[in-house]
Amino acid sequence: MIRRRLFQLWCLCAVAGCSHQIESPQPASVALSPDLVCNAKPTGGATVTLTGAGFTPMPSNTLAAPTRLLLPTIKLYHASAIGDLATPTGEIIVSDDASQPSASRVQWHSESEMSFQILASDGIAPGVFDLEVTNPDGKHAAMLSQGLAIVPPPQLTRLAPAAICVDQADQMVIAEGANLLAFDGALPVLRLQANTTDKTYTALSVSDCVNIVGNLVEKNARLCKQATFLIPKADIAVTSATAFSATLTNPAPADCASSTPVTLTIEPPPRVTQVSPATVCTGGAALTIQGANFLPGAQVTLQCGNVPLTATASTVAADGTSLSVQFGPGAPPETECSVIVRNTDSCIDSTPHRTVSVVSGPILFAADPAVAYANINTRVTFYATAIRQPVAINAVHITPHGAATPMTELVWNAVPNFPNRLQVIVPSGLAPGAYDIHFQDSTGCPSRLDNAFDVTATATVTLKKLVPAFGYTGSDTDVTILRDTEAPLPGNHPFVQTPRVFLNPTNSASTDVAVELMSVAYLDNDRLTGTVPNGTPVNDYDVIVVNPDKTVGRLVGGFKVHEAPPPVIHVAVPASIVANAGQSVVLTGTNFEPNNVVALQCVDAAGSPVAAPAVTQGATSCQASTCTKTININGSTLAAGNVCVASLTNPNGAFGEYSAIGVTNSSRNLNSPKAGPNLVMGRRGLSAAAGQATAASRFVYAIGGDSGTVAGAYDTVEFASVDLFGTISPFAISPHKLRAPRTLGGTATIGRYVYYVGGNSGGNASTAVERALILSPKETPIIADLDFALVSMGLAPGEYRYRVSAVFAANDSDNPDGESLASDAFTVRVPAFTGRGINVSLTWRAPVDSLGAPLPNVVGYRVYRSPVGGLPGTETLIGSTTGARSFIDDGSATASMQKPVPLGSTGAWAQLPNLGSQREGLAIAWAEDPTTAGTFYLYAIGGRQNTSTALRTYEYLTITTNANGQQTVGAAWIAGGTNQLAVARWLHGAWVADNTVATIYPAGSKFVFAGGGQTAAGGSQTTVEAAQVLAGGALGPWNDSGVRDFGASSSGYGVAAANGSLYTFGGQNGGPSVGSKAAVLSTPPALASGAWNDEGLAMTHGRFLLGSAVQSAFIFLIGGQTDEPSLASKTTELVIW
Amino acid sequence: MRNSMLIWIATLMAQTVTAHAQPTSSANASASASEPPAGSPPAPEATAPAPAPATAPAPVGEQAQAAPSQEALAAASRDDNSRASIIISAKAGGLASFGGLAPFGIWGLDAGFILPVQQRRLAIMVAFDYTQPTQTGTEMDPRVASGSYTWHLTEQQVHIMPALYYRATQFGRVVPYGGIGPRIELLRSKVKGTSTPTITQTSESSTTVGVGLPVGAEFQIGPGCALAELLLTYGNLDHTATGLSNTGGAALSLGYRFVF
Repeated sequence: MIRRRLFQLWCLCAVAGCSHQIESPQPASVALSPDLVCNAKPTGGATVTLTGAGFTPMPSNTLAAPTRLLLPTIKLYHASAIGDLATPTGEIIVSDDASQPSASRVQWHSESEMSFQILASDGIAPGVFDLEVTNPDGKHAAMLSQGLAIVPPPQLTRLAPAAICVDQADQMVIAEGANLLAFDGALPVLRLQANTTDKTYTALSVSDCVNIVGNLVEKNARLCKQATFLIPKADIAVTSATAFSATLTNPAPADCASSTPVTLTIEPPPRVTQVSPATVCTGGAALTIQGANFLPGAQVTLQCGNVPLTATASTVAADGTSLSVQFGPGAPPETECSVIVRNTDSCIDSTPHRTVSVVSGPILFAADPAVAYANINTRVTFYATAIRQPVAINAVHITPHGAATPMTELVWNAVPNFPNRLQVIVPSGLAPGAYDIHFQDSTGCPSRLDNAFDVTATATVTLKKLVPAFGYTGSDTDVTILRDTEAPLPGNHPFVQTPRVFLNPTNSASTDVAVELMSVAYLDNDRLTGTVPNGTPVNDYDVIVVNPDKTVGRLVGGFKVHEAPPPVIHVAVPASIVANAGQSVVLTGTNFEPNNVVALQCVDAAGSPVAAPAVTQGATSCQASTCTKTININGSTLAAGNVCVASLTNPNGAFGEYSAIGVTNSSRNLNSPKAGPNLVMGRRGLSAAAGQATAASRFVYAIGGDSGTVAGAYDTVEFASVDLFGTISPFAISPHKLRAPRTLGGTATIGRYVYYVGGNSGGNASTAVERALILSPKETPIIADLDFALVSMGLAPGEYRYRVSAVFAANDSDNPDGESLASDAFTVRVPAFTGRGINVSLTWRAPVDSLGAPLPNVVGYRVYRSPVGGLPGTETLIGSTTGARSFIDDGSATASMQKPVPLGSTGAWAQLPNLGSQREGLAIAWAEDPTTAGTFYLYAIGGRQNTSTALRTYEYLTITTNANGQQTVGAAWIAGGTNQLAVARWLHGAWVADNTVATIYPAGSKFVFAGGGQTAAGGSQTTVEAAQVLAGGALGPWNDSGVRDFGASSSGYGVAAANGSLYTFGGQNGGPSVGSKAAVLSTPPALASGAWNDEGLAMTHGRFLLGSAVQSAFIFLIGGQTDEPSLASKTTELVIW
Repeated sequence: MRNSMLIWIATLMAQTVTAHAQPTSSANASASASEPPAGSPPAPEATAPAPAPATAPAPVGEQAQAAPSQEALAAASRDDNSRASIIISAKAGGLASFGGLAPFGIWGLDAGFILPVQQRRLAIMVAFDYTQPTQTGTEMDPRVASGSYTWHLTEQQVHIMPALYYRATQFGRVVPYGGIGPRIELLRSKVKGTSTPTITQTSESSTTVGVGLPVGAEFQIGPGCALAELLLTYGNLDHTATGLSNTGGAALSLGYRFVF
């Protein structure tokens, strides 16, 4: 038994022999210092000290030797990442091998303190860690959560700027990189080292940071990518550019430094020893500056008083000892300028600066025209601030923009009375492109205008013809320029607002210079008007149209200037023919040369050309300046509704045209009306008028009227342009209104004056009479000169277009308180002057009449200007003067919305003597004195004085035309006295018949016809009466004998006297109707039997209280109450007679 | 710690004594019915001649037991081959370690039986002894702030060695003996640092098995025998604290043994 028990005990012990355990104390209360370390700290790495209790090592191998001390194990566990830095995985055991104690990272100080090292060679990835200390038994441990942050060393990749000069000011340097550590109270440090200099600068701020999240002593710890440092003024002194090695060091305890230095160059300030030459020109200069420490890109400024002028180009010698600089224009003359050299590091040369003196020289600032055609010699005017004579013959050159060659010398001439401008001839044959003008006057100062003008050869505009195609050397010739709208691509480019037009002698010599047309006006994409100037040499000319967009049209031989004046056809009698053979027409005009030839050019109602009829030439006879020629037209080849323009061509090729001769059927019925463009506003009771601004600029007007009742009377006026064949452009509101709303008044157009008489002002019949002048593009100011002044603030550089209009006094009889058309646009190119602005000084000539005399009562001018780079037509009001013909644009004016008065506008309406009686729904007629040319009479006939009284009386106003075309009116209307209509009426019409209307009327015999209308109460009144215009203006007795009355009630109708007949349109039975009635003039004043028969036409709309006007062969029927139905219609139509 | 060690030793001894006391009575019972089991070979004493009491000195134990009277001694002499005796001894001495530990005292208690065979020359005993040799050293270590440290190792050892003894009883009052047996070694290494800064003790314990070879002699003195014993031991000692070593050594002890 005992043996058994012993055996059992032995077995127990044998088994128990496997048991083995170690018991160490329990560590506790672990704390770290520091808790923020760098993982790449050189020289011993980063040492982290642990404090707490129970850090118990264990001596081992005491009997086996060598004895080794087992230290507590330190482990790191990754807890969180820092930004996007790579994160470690798994645990990290701090290296400690008791058998190799010298290689251990751990050091034991006591049971309450240990430390360990983090070496760069360990390659521990950055992050925030938990730390665990385990005693040698492997069982007893203590943990510190997120208590250690390991950060990478800072990286410095770039310093901006890379070079600085601290000699004169503090400098800010921005360091860019990564892992720049910052926490509350600690920022990275920049260290600069070179030679014996070793400087450190603590960052002012950091940016682009990510936070380090952990239980750290350091608050607000973060890693950043950018830090800003201040290098104090004069903190580093250098005598030459010195490269400093720059490194970044993070703040302790993670105070690692960047490993790759970046160079920061500290530069000394520039030093100037000499400047040559000692003078500069206002127009520009080149200087050579000697000295030292000039850096590439150094800027040079001339400080002339308060005016700085920065060099436009600067070249620094490789050794930094010299600078070659160029200055543009702008240095104030007669000033002393400091030469200031500023390196790119912002340091300037020390004071006192070297100085240079400024001498005056020309500054070129504009060239006109800005586009020249490559195949002609073009006269170009360029403008300068000052030109000192004498100017050398080779003073002007041009070069392609930006190029030094080829350099073309230009022939120049002075411009009398304009000392600051020269004219040069841009020769034909230049390569297309932009050109710079180079100029040097006697000051020796060169001046250059970049992009002064463009030469173009892009002939994509196809010209059809000029009308007329000839002119007279002794006078201005108004022409219309037509484009060939059917030209194939690419030749179908339209006109662009506003072209320049030149006449270049056909087969020109190399010295011939193109003549530029004046007053070119853009009507639309296909039509221009302009004036060939008086004095243009007799020659055949090619017509050159140069668009602002540099496209060109050329019409070879398109215009001819004659020595003799061209024929002018004033009137054709009859103004319409029957579409039969043997139609005789007498043309009256001036300058009909013997053996002239008359031809017709015809179109159908749709505007399509038709074959010209044969014309048999009759005799030409002239008395004094008035000539007549009879032609016989074979109208059988024409159709009713055709319209023909007659042209009389003298043997020298000059011809005059007359618009137009209508073609009717054998009954002389009018042709079918065709619709025109709508009015802007529907109008009833309006008055219509037709007039011409120039011979080539024709317009139709819709004046006043109402919205359907007199209470809705309008004061507005609309107008539209009309070409030779009656094509009407869209209507537009005129900027000048009637003096008061008016409807049911009467209108007459005499010359360029439109008279408006009587009517209803919105409630009562009116005695008021007013008139407006159709403004002529020839009676405008002309911009004559301009100048530039350099100022501190002014216009920005760029291209501007100026126009100037005249303002007239309130007592002006033609345009009281009104405004003329504006001048042609004058393009100014404002050059750039660094740091300076430009004041543009414009001067202009006063507007003159057709005789060249200044227009009276001009009290001021308005100046319009486009925005910089604005196209023609974008000009708006920027200022005005009170009589002075100059204006300085300093750029401070706020552009308003007001635009210049458009072509076709009338001037302001002028008040004339009142009627003797209130008259609404009156009839208006005018006639020239039968014996005194130039004296006209305006008749106001009948009308309604009030709702119960219609008038039988008439009164007239004498109008005298002066030599310049201006009209003056009599002091008062002259009452017709007892010579009264047989029947009082209103809403009636009036006609004037003379031998221009009907050949049956003897020359000088003129009769006024008054048609039927309504009684004051609205009853029908069909009586038609006539009275002869007597010398002095009085009418002969109203005669109802033989003057056939209306066959049906008509009132509020339109009227026309033409083609030997009197016509009414609409208004039948006091309402809208589409028909027309006609009465054939017979022996004055009788009307032929069958009078007031139906014309058989139908207007596009039945009309009542419409407006009607006649111009050449066109009858315009406008608005009124219509059968659309509309109380006040916008519709219009046109009848060719 | 020391108290706990003593308690642990006492506990082991008590358990051993208890375990021994029970088989003793049982052994008596067995001895009283010491007939070999059926089929077993005849007991050796049945054939072996009995030693001559007149010429052979009485074993110490026997003497101690027979001391009260001549008759008892004679009877004991007569019964040498037929009676088992209990022996209990206590001893103390010194230990010379073979494993690098410093010499240290050793204390022990033996208990066992003299087997009633071979003229009582065989005995089975269980020896309990305790010693705690130490060692001290100073090491250079750069990881320690002071550059060195002094360690102190206390190797507490409790041995339990059941062994078979041969007792040369034929020499009368002097009984040389020798034995051999396994040693169950209960080891505890306590290591600490004694220099400044101090290192708190870390303990490391394990149990292992070794071997013991006691050689000694009994001298009958008084009621028992004085004894002198040289104990040669060997066992593995493979602690972290100690490294790979052994518990081997030579322990020379003097004691007194009772034979009942």
